[in-house]
Amino acid sequence: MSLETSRIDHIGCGTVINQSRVQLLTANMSQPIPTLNLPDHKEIVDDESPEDDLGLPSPTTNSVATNQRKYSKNLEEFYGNPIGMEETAPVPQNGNLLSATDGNNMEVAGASSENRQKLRSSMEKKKEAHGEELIDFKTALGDDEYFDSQRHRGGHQSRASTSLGGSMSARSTGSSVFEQGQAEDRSEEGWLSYRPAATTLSNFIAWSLVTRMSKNAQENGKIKRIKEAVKEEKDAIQKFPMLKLPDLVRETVIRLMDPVEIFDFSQISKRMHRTAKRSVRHNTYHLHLQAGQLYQAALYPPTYPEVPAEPARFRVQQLDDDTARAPTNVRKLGNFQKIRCHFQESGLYFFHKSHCRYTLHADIGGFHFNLVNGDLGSI
Amino acid sequence: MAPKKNSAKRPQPSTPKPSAPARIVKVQSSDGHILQADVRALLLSSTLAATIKGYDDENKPLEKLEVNNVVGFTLKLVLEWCEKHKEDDPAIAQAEKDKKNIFIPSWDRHFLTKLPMGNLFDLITAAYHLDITGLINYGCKTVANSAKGKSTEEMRELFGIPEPWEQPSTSTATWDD
Repeated sequence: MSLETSRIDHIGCGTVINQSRVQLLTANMSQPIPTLNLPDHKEIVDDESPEDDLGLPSPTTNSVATNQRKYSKNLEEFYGNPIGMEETAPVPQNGNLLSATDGNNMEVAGASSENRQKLRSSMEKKKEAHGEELIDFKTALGDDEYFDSQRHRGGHQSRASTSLGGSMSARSTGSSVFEQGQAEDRSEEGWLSYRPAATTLSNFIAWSLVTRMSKNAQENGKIKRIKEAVKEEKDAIQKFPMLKLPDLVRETVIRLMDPVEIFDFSQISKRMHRTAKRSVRHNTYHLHLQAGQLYQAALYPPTYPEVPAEPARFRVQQLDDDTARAPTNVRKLGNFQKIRCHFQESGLYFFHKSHCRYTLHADIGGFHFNLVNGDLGSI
Repeated sequence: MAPKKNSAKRPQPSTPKPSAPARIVKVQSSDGHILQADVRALLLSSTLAATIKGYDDENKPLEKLEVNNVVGFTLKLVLEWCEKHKEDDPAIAQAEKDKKNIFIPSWDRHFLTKLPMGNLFDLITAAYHLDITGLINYGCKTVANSAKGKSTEEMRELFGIPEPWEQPSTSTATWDD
């Protein structure tokens, strides 16, 4: 296995890579890997480029370094870490992270946890030494493999940056600047370039696409057409406003339903349950109203005035001796808590605002019961 | 042996009587539309029948009937139905009123089913105002049939019933009080 070239020099805030020819062999030495023909001398303005740039051109991207990095990365992912290419602890020297090699000038593919720990400790020392000064990332790490390893571990670049302390503020600041659509500030010393995370970049691209699509859709009237289609679809579901029907018609509708449908219909709500129950009983049964365990009232409602029916009548029955007392506190009649009716012997019954009158009965007598103030007295 | 047809449940139209010559009356809707209809068709409405009877008793010429609570389109539907059933016996509708099951003739089924729900609502409401018993029965039966095979939520959607936690509208605030 041999890997020619890769002499990497880190000078200041820039990097110059002299790469003449790169030849990679597989781990088992069986298959040669196509050679990368790289330019001899290329000054890299910014050697950190977004790996997942999705083909977007970047003026600060060096294609050579990117290809090399991708190539070595794919090689490692496919064949694993070959024997003899184990990672070695990077030794920071003068702010440079030298590539760990096994004699073949192989760049460090990934950083182990031990190496990362050492990196972190060295970074902390640097931070203490320089105070709040931003630390050159490129100078410190030398390559992006550290972040690649972090990303492979399921982490996010910003998370990896956060773990590195003060220098990470520069990365985070860069991310925020990029997300706001501004160019990075190269004026600050020690700040090489911005290397956006894949997620950040993809989010930005998605946001820009959505924005562009939404603008185009607005221009083309697509959104309007979609809204109209949704509205038509809603209108296709025809509604029959049953609650706006007259009472007698509504009761007729409920009465003409099949029993199963009446049951389903009554399950819509409590109000509908009571209404359906009352409507079904309407024709064949009388209503039993229990008033505070004192009175039992029976109502024989006619459906139409023309139809001869028994007059609406309350039969007040004496249950115990307490009937004599005036139930001034009784304000509801069984389930019909707000019954407001005016019953007449003529057969008509109609709703009244807040008044209920018990009709006269020959044997027991009649009572006038006002639900508002609970006044109960004989007529 | 051929099975017996259960024709007792179905209302049989009465035999056509030797009727008098048609008497056309103009009917004006609430929005100003003027329609023409036979008096026999208008007699299916109790409200209009009382009005016509009042005119006849006073020997006044009946030129135009005003129906103030029905719009033109709905009144046209009502008159179309009445024209179809002007030969029917009103006792049939009265007898069907208290039945639990109402048979809808084919013409009425086709007439009522093809209507959108909104127009059907207007038609039933107009029939209620005009007191046309047969049209009310058939309309209510059509609405009841539309609920067949629907779940509770579908019924709620169909009939526009608010959710239990929703505030009932003003028109339905006291409808079951």
